[in-house]
Amino acid sequence: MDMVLFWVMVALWVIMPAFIVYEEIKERRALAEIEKAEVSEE
Amino acid sequence: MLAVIGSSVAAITGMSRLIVDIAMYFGLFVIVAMALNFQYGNAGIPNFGCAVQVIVGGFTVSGITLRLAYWLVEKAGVKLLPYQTAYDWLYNSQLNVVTVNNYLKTHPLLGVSLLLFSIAVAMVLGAVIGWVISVPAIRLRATYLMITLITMADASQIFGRNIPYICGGTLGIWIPNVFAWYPGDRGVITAVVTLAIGLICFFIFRTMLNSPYGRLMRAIRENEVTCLSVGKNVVGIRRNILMFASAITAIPGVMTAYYYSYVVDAMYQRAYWTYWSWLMLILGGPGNNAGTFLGCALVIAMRRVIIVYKWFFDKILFFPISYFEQILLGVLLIVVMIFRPDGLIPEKLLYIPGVNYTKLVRERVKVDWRTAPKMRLAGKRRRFSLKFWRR
Repeated sequence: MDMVLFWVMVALWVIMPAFIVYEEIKERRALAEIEKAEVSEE
Repeated sequence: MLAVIGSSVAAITGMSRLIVDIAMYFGLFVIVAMALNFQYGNAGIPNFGCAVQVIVGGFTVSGITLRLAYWLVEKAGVKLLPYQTAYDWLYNSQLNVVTVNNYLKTHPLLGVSLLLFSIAVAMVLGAVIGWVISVPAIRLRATYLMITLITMADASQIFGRNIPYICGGTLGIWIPNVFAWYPGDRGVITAVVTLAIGLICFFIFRTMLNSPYGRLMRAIRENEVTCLSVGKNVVGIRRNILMFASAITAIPGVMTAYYYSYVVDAMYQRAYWTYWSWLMLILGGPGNNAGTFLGCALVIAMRRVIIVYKWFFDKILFFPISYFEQILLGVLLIVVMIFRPDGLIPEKLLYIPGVNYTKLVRERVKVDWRTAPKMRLAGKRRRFSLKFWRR
Protein backbone atom coordinates (compact mmCIF):
# COMPACT_ATOMS: atom_id res chain seq x y z
CA MET A 1 0.00 0.00 0.00
CA ASP A 2 2.80 2.38 0.95
CA MET A 3 4.58 1.61 -2.30
CA VAL A 4 1.57 2.68 -4.40
CA LEU A 5 1.10 5.90 -2.45
CA PHE A 6 4.82 6.58 -2.52
CA TRP A 7 4.86 6.52 -6.32
CA VAL A 8 1.62 8.55 -6.46
CA MET A 9 3.40 11.12 -4.31
CA VAL A 10 6.44 11.11 -6.58
CA ALA A 11 4.17 11.44 -9.65
CA LEU A 12 2.34 14.40 -8.10
CA TRP A 13 5.64 15.94 -7.13
CA VAL A 14 6.99 15.59 -10.66
CA ILE A 15 3.78 16.42 -12.57
CA MET A 16 3.26 19.76 -10.84
CA PRO A 17 6.61 21.42 -11.75
CA ALA A 18 6.72 19.66 -15.14
CA PHE A 19 3.34 21.13 -16.07
CA ILE A 20 4.41 24.58 -14.91
CA VAL A 21 7.69 24.44 -16.83
CA TYR A 22 5.83 23.25 -19.96
CA GLU A 23 3.33 26.09 -19.65
CA GLU A 24 6.07 28.64 -19.00
CA ILE A 25 8.03 27.53 -22.08
CA LYS A 26 4.85 27.59 -24.20
CA GLU A 27 3.99 31.13 -23.07
CA ARG A 28 7.51 32.42 -23.57
CA ARG A 29 7.59 30.97 -27.08
CA ALA A 30 4.22 32.55 -27.91
CA LEU A 31 5.42 35.91 -26.61
CA ALA A 32 8.62 35.62 -28.65
CA GLU A 33 6.58 34.83 -31.77
CA ILE A 34 4.35 37.86 -31.17
CA GLU A 35 7.43 40.05 -30.77
CA LYS A 36 8.95 38.63 -33.95
CA ALA A 37 5.73 39.29 -35.87
CA GLU A 38 5.69 42.87 -34.61
CA VAL A 39 9.26 43.46 -35.71
CA SER A 40 8.51 42.13 -39.19
CA GLU A 41 5.36 44.33 -39.37
CA GLU A 42 7.37 47.45 -38.56
CA MET B 1 19.03 4.80 -7.77
CA LEU B 2 15.38 4.01 -8.54
CA ALA B 3 15.98 0.36 -7.62
CA VAL B 4 17.46 1.39 -4.26
CA ILE B 5 14.52 3.69 -3.57
CA GLY B 6 12.03 1.07 -4.77
CA SER B 7 13.46 -1.59 -2.46
CA SER B 8 13.26 0.70 0.56
CA VAL B 9 9.70 1.82 -0.15
CA ALA B 10 8.20 -1.37 1.31
CA ALA B 11 8.94 0.22 4.69
CA ILE B 12 9.35 4.01 4.67
CA THR B 13 12.87 4.20 6.04
CA GLY B 14 16.22 5.63 5.02
CA MET B 15 16.25 7.21 1.57
CA SER B 16 12.49 6.85 1.00
CA ARG B 17 11.83 8.58 4.34
CA LEU B 18 14.00 11.49 3.20
CA ILE B 19 12.08 11.67 -0.11
CA VAL B 20 8.72 11.65 1.71
CA ASP B 21 10.01 14.37 4.02
CA ILE B 22 11.22 16.54 1.13
CA ALA B 23 7.94 16.02 -0.78
CA MET B 24 5.92 16.93 2.31
CA TYR B 25 7.87 20.10 2.92
CA PHE B 26 7.76 20.96 -0.76
CA GLY B 27 3.96 20.62 -0.65
CA LEU B 28 3.70 22.79 2.47
CA PHE B 29 6.03 25.54 1.35
CA VAL B 30 4.83 25.63 -2.24
CA ILE B 31 1.36 26.61 -0.96
CA VAL B 32 2.82 29.38 1.23
CA ALA B 33 5.17 30.58 -1.54
CA MET B 34 2.37 30.59 -4.14
CA ALA B 35 0.13 32.61 -1.82
CA LEU B 36 3.03 34.99 -1.21
CA ASN B 37 3.65 35.26 -4.93
CA PHE B 38 -0.05 36.03 -5.35
CA GLN B 39 0.22 38.85 -2.81
CA TYR B 40 3.67 40.28 -3.39
CA GLY B 41 4.60 39.11 -6.88
CA ASN B 42 1.32 40.09 -8.48
CA ALA B 43 -0.36 42.64 -6.23
CA GLY B 44 2.71 44.22 -4.61
CA ILE B 45 1.56 43.62 -1.03
CA PRO B 46 4.63 42.80 1.09
CA ASN B 47 3.07 40.27 3.47
CA PHE B 48 5.61 39.56 6.17
CA GLY B 49 2.96 37.86 8.25
CA CYS B 50 2.86 34.43 6.61
CA ALA B 51 3.65 32.83 9.96
CA VAL B 52 0.47 34.37 11.46
CA GLN B 53 -1.72 32.67 8.90
CA VAL B 54 0.08 29.34 9.16
CA ILE B 55 -0.15 29.45 12.96
CA VAL B 56 -3.91 30.00 12.64
CA GLY B 57 -4.11 26.69 10.75
CA GLY B 58 -2.14 24.87 13.45
CA PHE B 59 -4.16 26.41 16.29
CA THR B 60 -7.40 25.51 14.53
CA VAL B 61 -6.44 21.84 14.69
CA SER B 62 -5.26 21.95 18.32
CA GLY B 63 -7.90 24.30 19.67
CA ILE B 64 -11.03 23.41 17.70
CA THR B 65 -10.71 20.11 15.82
CA LEU B 66 -9.16 18.28 18.78
CA ARG B 67 -12.06 19.30 21.04
CA LEU B 68 -14.56 18.34 18.36
CA ALA B 69 -12.87 14.93 17.96
CA TYR B 70 -13.01 14.33 21.74
CA TRP B 71 -16.65 15.38 21.86
CA LEU B 72 -17.65 13.18 18.90
CA VAL B 73 -15.82 10.14 20.26
CA GLU B 74 -17.38 10.62 23.69
CA LYS B 75 -20.82 10.92 22.07
CA ALA B 76 -20.12 7.60 20.35
CA GLY B 77 -19.83 6.01 23.80
CA VAL B 78 -16.04 5.81 24.15
CA LYS B 79 -14.75 6.76 27.58
CA LEU B 80 -12.06 9.47 27.60
CA LEU B 81 -10.00 10.88 30.47
CA PRO B 82 -11.15 14.34 31.67
CA TYR B 83 -9.91 17.23 29.56
CA GLN B 84 -11.86 20.24 30.84
CA THR B 85 -9.21 21.91 33.01
CA ALA B 86 -5.88 23.17 31.67
CA TYR B 87 -4.00 20.50 33.62
CA ASP B 88 -6.17 17.64 32.30
CA TRP B 89 -6.18 19.09 28.79
CA LEU B 90 -2.39 18.91 28.79
CA TYR B 91 -1.50 15.81 30.75
CA ASN B 92 -4.32 13.53 29.55
CA SER B 93 -3.81 14.53 25.91
CA GLN B 94 -1.53 11.60 25.04
CA LEU B 95 -3.84 8.87 26.36
CA ASN B 96 -6.97 10.54 25.00
CA VAL B 97 -5.41 10.83 21.54
CA VAL B 98 -4.49 7.12 21.60
CA THR B 99 -8.14 6.30 22.41
CA VAL B 100 -9.38 8.61 19.62
CA ASN B 101 -6.90 7.03 17.17
CA ASN B 102 -8.19 3.56 18.03
CA TYR B 103 -11.72 4.78 17.31
CA LEU B 104 -10.67 6.44 14.02
CA LYS B 105 -9.06 3.19 12.83
CA THR B 106 -12.52 1.74 12.27
CA HIS B 107 -14.21 5.03 11.28
CA PRO B 108 -12.42 6.42 8.19
CA LEU B 109 -15.29 8.75 7.32
CA LEU B 110 -14.91 10.55 10.64
CA GLY B 111 -11.17 10.92 10.04
CA VAL B 112 -11.67 12.43 6.57
CA SER B 113 -14.47 14.67 7.89
CA LEU B 114 -12.21 15.96 10.67
CA LEU B 115 -9.51 16.77 8.11
CA LEU B 116 -11.95 18.60 5.83
CA PHE B 117 -13.48 20.41 8.80
CA SER B 118 -10.02 21.55 9.95
CA ILE B 119 -9.14 22.86 6.49
CA ALA B 120 -12.48 24.67 6.13
CA VAL B 121 -12.33 26.30 9.58
CA ALA B 122 -8.64 27.20 9.12
CA MET B 123 -9.48 28.87 5.82
CA VAL B 124 -12.29 30.89 7.38
CA LEU B 125 -10.11 31.94 10.33
CA GLY B 126 -7.20 32.62 7.96
CA ALA B 127 -9.44 34.93 5.95
CA VAL B 128 -10.48 36.70 9.17
CA ILE B 129 -6.79 37.15 10.07
CA GLY B 130 -6.24 38.46 6.52
CA TRP B 131 -8.93 41.04 7.14
CA VAL B 132 -7.31 41.98 10.49
CA ILE B 133 -3.95 42.34 8.71
CA SER B 134 -5.52 44.45 5.99
CA VAL B 135 -6.69 47.06 8.52
CA PRO B 136 -3.16 48.41 9.19
CA ALA B 137 -2.16 47.53 5.61
CA ILE B 138 -4.49 50.19 4.30
CA ARG B 139 -3.12 52.89 6.57
CA LEU B 140 0.56 52.01 6.78
CA ARG B 141 3.34 52.28 4.25
CA ALA B 142 5.22 49.16 3.14
CA THR B 143 8.05 49.31 5.71
CA TYR B 144 5.77 49.99 8.68
CA LEU B 145 3.40 47.31 7.48
CA MET B 146 6.26 44.79 7.43
CA ILE B 147 7.21 45.66 11.03
CA THR B 148 3.58 45.36 12.15
CA LEU B 149 3.16 41.97 10.48
CA ILE B 150 6.41 40.60 11.92
CA THR B 151 5.23 41.69 15.38
CA MET B 152 1.84 40.06 14.80
CA ALA B 153 3.55 36.75 14.02
CA ASP B 154 5.48 36.91 17.28
CA ALA B 155 2.37 37.96 19.19
CA SER B 156 0.38 34.98 17.91
CA GLN B 157 3.19 32.64 18.98
CA ILE B 158 3.24 34.22 22.46
CA PHE B 159 -0.53 33.69 22.74
CA GLY B 160 -0.08 30.01 21.88
CA ARG B 161 2.79 29.63 24.36
CA ASN B 162 0.93 31.16 27.27
CA ILE B 163 -2.62 29.89 26.84
CA PRO B 164 -2.63 26.10 27.30
CA TYR B 165 -6.18 25.79 25.96
CA ILE B 166 -5.00 26.75 22.46
CA CYS B 167 -2.08 24.39 21.86
CA GLY B 168 -0.94 23.12 25.22
CA GLY B 169 1.39 26.02 26.03
CA THR B 170 5.11 25.28 26.05
CA LEU B 171 4.55 21.52 26.24
CA GLY B 172 2.43 21.33 23.10
CA ILE B 173 -0.45 18.97 22.50
CA TRP B 174 -1.02 15.69 20.70
CA ILE B 175 -3.29 15.57 17.69
CA PRO B 176 -5.34 12.56 16.58
CA ASN B 177 -4.23 10.78 13.45
CA VAL B 178 -7.01 11.45 10.94
CA PHE B 179 -5.40 8.81 8.68
CA ALA B 180 -5.47 6.13 11.39
CA TRP B 181 -7.65 3.99 9.10
CA TYR B 182 -4.78 3.82 6.57
CA PRO B 183 -2.76 0.64 7.23
CA GLY B 184 0.62 2.06 6.06
CA ASP B 185 2.83 5.00 6.93
CA ARG B 186 1.07 8.21 7.99
CA GLY B 187 3.77 10.41 6.46
CA VAL B 188 3.21 9.17 2.91
CA ILE B 189 -0.54 9.70 2.86
CA THR B 190 -0.17 13.15 4.47
CA ALA B 191 2.42 14.08 1.82
CA VAL B 192 0.11 12.89 -0.99
CA VAL B 193 -2.82 14.91 0.40
CA THR B 194 -0.60 18.00 0.86
CA LEU B 195 0.77 17.78 -2.68
CA ALA B 196 -2.75 17.30 -4.06
CA ILE B 197 -3.89 20.42 -2.16
CA GLY B 198 -0.85 22.25 -3.57
CA LEU B 199 -1.83 21.24 -7.09
CA ILE B 200 -5.42 22.45 -6.57
CA CYS B 201 -4.10 25.74 -5.11
CA PHE B 202 -1.84 26.14 -8.14
CA PHE B 203 -4.79 25.83 -10.54
CA ILE B 204 -6.85 28.27 -8.46
CA PHE B 205 -4.04 30.87 -8.44
CA ARG B 206 -3.35 30.31 -12.13
CA THR B 207 -7.00 30.89 -13.05
CA MET B 208 -7.18 33.97 -10.87
CA LEU B 209 -3.97 35.47 -12.25
CA ASN B 210 -5.05 34.94 -15.87
CA SER B 211 -8.46 36.49 -15.23
CA PRO B 212 -9.29 40.22 -15.54
CA TYR B 213 -8.95 40.38 -11.74
CA GLY B 214 -5.34 39.17 -12.02
CA ARG B 215 -4.61 41.88 -14.57
CA LEU B 216 -6.20 44.42 -12.24
CA MET B 217 -3.90 43.18 -9.46
CA ARG B 218 -0.88 43.74 -11.65
CA ALA B 219 -2.18 47.17 -12.61
CA ILE B 220 -2.45 48.10 -8.92
CA ARG B 221 1.09 46.87 -8.35
CA GLU B 222 2.40 48.93 -11.25
CA ASN B 223 0.47 52.15 -10.70
CA GLU B 224 -1.95 52.50 -7.86
CA VAL B 225 -2.84 56.12 -8.63
CA THR B 226 -3.92 55.30 -12.19
CA CYS B 227 -6.18 52.52 -10.92
CA LEU B 228 -7.73 54.92 -8.40
CA SER B 229 -8.26 57.52 -11.12
CA VAL B 230 -10.27 55.07 -13.23
CA GLY B 231 -12.56 54.32 -10.30
CA LYS B 232 -11.11 51.05 -9.00
CA ASN B 233 -11.49 50.34 -5.30
CA VAL B 234 -7.80 49.74 -4.59
CA VAL B 235 -8.29 49.37 -0.82
CA GLY B 236 -11.09 46.82 -1.27
CA ILE B 237 -9.11 44.83 -3.84
CA ARG B 238 -6.06 44.73 -1.57
CA ARG B 239 -8.21 43.56 1.30
CA ASN B 240 -9.73 40.80 -0.84
CA ILE B 241 -6.29 39.65 -1.98
CA LEU B 242 -4.98 39.53 1.59
CA MET B 243 -8.05 37.65 2.83
CA PHE B 244 -7.95 35.09 0.02
CA ALA B 245 -4.21 34.46 0.25
CA SER B 246 -4.38 34.26 4.06
CA ALA B 247 -7.09 31.63 3.82
CA ILE B 248 -4.89 29.53 1.53
CA THR B 249 -1.80 30.07 3.73
CA ALA B 250 -3.64 28.61 6.73
CA ILE B 251 -3.81 25.18 5.03
CA PRO B 252 -0.10 24.30 5.51
CA GLY B 253 -0.57 24.95 9.25
CA VAL B 254 -3.28 22.28 9.33
CA MET B 255 -1.24 19.78 7.32
CA THR B 256 1.87 20.32 9.50
CA ALA B 257 -0.19 19.55 12.59
CA TYR B 258 -1.42 16.29 11.05
CA TYR B 259 2.02 15.38 9.69
CA TYR B 260 3.58 15.49 13.16
CA SER B 261 0.36 14.60 15.05
CA TYR B 262 1.50 17.27 17.45
CA VAL B 263 1.18 21.04 17.79
CA VAL B 264 3.43 23.38 19.74
CA ASP B 265 3.90 27.09 19.11
CA ALA B 266 7.63 26.59 18.32
CA MET B 267 6.64 24.70 15.14
CA TYR B 268 5.32 27.93 13.65
CA GLN B 269 8.29 30.23 14.02
CA ARG B 270 8.36 33.47 12.09
CA ALA B 271 11.87 32.80 10.80
CA TYR B 272 10.70 29.48 9.42
CA TRP B 273 7.39 30.24 7.74
CA THR B 274 7.94 33.86 6.75
CA TYR B 275 11.63 34.26 5.90
CA TRP B 276 12.13 30.91 4.19
CA SER B 277 9.04 31.52 2.06
CA TRP B 278 10.36 34.95 1.11
CA LEU B 279 13.74 33.44 0.25
CA MET B 280 12.02 30.94 -2.06
CA LEU B 281 10.11 33.72 -3.77
CA ILE B 282 13.12 36.02 -4.19
CA LEU B 283 15.36 33.17 -5.33
CA GLY B 284 12.94 31.85 -7.95
CA GLY B 285 11.71 35.25 -9.08
CA PRO B 286 8.52 36.99 -7.98
CA GLY B 287 5.60 37.41 -10.36
CA ASN B 288 5.62 33.98 -11.96
CA ASN B 289 4.65 30.53 -10.74
CA ALA B 290 7.58 28.75 -12.41
CA GLY B 291 10.03 30.86 -10.39
CA THR B 292 8.13 30.20 -7.18
CA PHE B 293 8.25 26.45 -7.81
CA LEU B 294 11.94 26.47 -8.71
CA GLY B 295 12.86 28.55 -5.65
CA CYS B 296 10.76 26.30 -3.43
CA ALA B 297 12.25 23.08 -4.82
CA LEU B 298 15.83 24.35 -4.49
CA VAL B 299 15.51 25.68 -0.95
CA ILE B 300 13.57 22.68 0.38
CA ALA B 301 15.92 20.12 -1.16
CA MET B 302 18.99 21.94 0.17
CA ARG B 303 17.55 22.40 3.63
CA ARG B 304 16.42 18.82 4.08
CA VAL B 305 19.66 17.40 2.73
CA ILE B 306 21.68 19.64 5.07
CA ILE B 307 19.53 18.59 8.05
CA VAL B 308 19.69 14.87 7.25
CA TYR B 309 23.40 14.74 6.35
CA LYS B 310 24.52 17.12 9.09
CA TRP B 311 27.07 14.68 10.51
CA PHE B 312 28.65 14.18 7.12
CA PHE B 313 29.09 17.94 6.60
CA ASP B 314 30.38 18.31 10.15
CA LYS B 315 33.57 16.45 9.21
CA ILE B 316 34.29 18.76 6.26
CA LEU B 317 33.45 22.18 7.71
CA PHE B 318 35.55 24.21 10.11
CA PHE B 319 32.62 26.01 11.80
CA PRO B 320 29.66 24.64 13.84
CA ILE B 321 27.34 22.68 11.58
CA SER B 322 24.17 24.03 13.25
CA TYR B 323 24.66 27.35 11.41
CA PHE B 324 25.52 25.84 8.03
CA GLU B 325 21.93 25.81 6.78
CA GLN B 326 21.38 29.50 7.57
CA ILE B 327 24.81 30.57 6.30
CA LEU B 328 24.47 28.72 2.99
CA LEU B 329 21.01 30.00 2.25
CA GLY B 330 21.85 33.52 3.42
CA VAL B 331 24.82 33.58 1.06
CA LEU B 332 22.60 32.20 -1.70
CA LEU B 333 20.14 35.05 -1.18
CA ILE B 334 22.91 37.66 -1.32
CA VAL B 335 24.40 36.12 -4.48
CA VAL B 336 20.99 36.08 -6.18
CA MET B 337 20.27 39.67 -5.13
CA ILE B 338 23.60 40.83 -6.58
CA PHE B 339 23.77 38.82 -9.80
CA ARG B 340 20.11 38.11 -10.56
CA PRO B 341 17.91 40.65 -8.76
CA ASP B 342 14.85 39.48 -10.73
CA GLY B 343 15.34 35.90 -9.53
CA LEU B 344 16.35 32.78 -11.42
CA ILE B 345 13.28 33.02 -13.68
CA PRO B 346 12.42 36.70 -14.25
CA GLU B 347 8.83 37.82 -14.69
CA LYS B 348 7.60 37.91 -18.27
CA LEU B 349 4.79 39.81 -19.99
CA LEU B 350 1.31 38.45 -19.40
CA TYR B 351 0.25 36.08 -22.17
CA ILE B 352 -3.41 35.35 -22.82
CA PRO B 353 -4.20 33.41 -26.01
CA GLY B 354 -5.89 35.66 -28.57
CA VAL B 355 -5.04 38.93 -26.79
CA ASN B 356 -1.94 40.88 -27.79
CA TYR B 357 -1.41 43.40 -25.03
CA THR B 358 1.75 44.85 -26.52
CA LYS B 359 -0.16 45.63 -29.71
CA LEU B 360 -3.09 47.07 -27.77
CA VAL B 361 -0.81 49.38 -25.80
CA ARG B 362 1.09 50.55 -28.87
CA GLU B 363 -2.02 50.92 -31.04
CA ARG B 364 -2.47 54.39 -32.40
CA VAL B 365 -6.02 55.67 -32.09
CA LYS B 366 -6.94 58.25 -34.69
CA VAL B 367 -9.25 60.91 -33.32
CA ASP B 368 -10.63 63.74 -35.40
CA TRP B 369 -10.54 66.56 -32.83
CA ARG B 370 -12.62 68.89 -35.05
CA THR B 371 -15.66 66.62 -34.63
CA ALA B 372 -15.02 65.90 -30.96
CA PRO B 373 -16.80 69.03 -29.48
CA LYS B 374 -19.85 68.33 -31.62
CA MET B 375 -19.97 64.75 -30.36
CA ARG B 376 -19.70 65.95 -26.77
CA LEU B 377 -22.55 68.39 -27.25
CA ALA B 378 -24.66 65.72 -28.84
CA GLY B 379 -24.03 63.49 -25.86
CA LYS B 380 -25.08 66.24 -23.43
CA ARG B 381 -28.25 66.88 -25.38
CA ARG B 382 -29.11 63.19 -25.34
CA ARG B 383 -28.57 62.94 -21.58
CA PHE B 384 -30.73 66.01 -21.00
CA SER B 385 -33.54 64.71 -23.11
CA LEU B 386 -33.44 61.35 -21.39
CA LYS B 387 -33.62 63.02 -18.00
CA PHE B 388 -36.55 65.14 -19.16
CA TRP B 389 -38.37 62.10 -20.48
CA ARG B 390 -37.89 60.23 -17.18
CA ARG B 391 -39.57 63.09 -15.28
